[in-house]
Amino acid sequence: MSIDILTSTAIAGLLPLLVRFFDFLWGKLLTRKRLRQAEETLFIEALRSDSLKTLGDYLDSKVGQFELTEYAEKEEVRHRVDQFLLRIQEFVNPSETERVETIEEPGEVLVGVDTDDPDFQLVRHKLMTTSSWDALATLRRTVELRLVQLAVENRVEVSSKLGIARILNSLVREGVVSPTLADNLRFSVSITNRAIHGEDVSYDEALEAVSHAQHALAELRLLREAQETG
Amino acid sequence: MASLKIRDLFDLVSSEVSNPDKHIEKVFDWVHGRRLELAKWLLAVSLAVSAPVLLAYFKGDLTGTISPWWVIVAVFLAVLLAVSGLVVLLRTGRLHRTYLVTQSLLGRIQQIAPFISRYREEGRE
Repeated sequence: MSIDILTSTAIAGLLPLLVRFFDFLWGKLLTRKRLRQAEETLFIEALRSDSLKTLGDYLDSKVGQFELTEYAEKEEVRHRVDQFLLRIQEFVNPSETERVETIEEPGEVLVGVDTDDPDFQLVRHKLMTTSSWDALATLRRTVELRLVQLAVENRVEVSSKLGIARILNSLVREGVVSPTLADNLRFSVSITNRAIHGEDVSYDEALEAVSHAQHALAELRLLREAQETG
Repeated sequence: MASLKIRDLFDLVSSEVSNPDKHIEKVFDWVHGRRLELAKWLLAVSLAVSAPVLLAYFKGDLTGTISPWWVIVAVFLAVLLAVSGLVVLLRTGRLHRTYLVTQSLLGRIQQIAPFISRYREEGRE
């Protein structure tokens, strides 16, 4: 007899372990493939797109592809998924100070509209061609970037992680932005926050948000130019 | 369990079912029970297969009444089933951690539930 009991025992004992080992290797290969697909740069691109579809597609197909066991057992997967979810949370959930709330339309309406502003042209184009979500996400990002830029120019210490409401409060406190301008921006931002958080925002409301923000930012630009020349 | 993906949690949250955590608990309970049953079954069959061989061995007529090939096949099967059973048992033990991590992940996903719902309604092709 060429195979004795000991050899048979050894083979039988090793077989399930070998199967488990190959299963483990296969799992590792799949994880690596999925991590490659869910590359960080692609996620940042998705965030920058300000598009509900692009961001949702990324979340669904790239983040959602990981298995729960992979998430629980593999540190790298957990870290990546948590990071993505945190960014999405930061993006769609307004910070504590700018929780989704309805702000009354300001009584004092500003007039100086800068129709050539390419950022607002893009927002209005999105509002007409895609969804109000996309347009308002772009609007919020535009307002945030402009306010951060304004803060930097005026040496007001802020971080974009603070959220628009806090940045605006700092700018009002330092006298860079007038309370009227701030009210207009707060009104616009409150509408963008509602939309991004998933609430229904009508086309008219979205249009109002764009108008108020555009007026306010145009006014800010005029004030800045007047200060620079005078 | 291997086929449950994070996307399934997105679906669960966006479908707005009440207490999604209870649904997750049920799934894990079911998987835990099934794996435990499987491990018990594998170990029991392994014991059943090896019992006659062990009996014959202790009686001292292992090579007398049973064909040597049967002994080899029986030992092979018994060890194969026993090790498989232990592997399943070990994996079952790790399920608790996966459960806890999944519950905390679900909590985080619930925070972006309105966004996911809106995407499911509007954004998806």
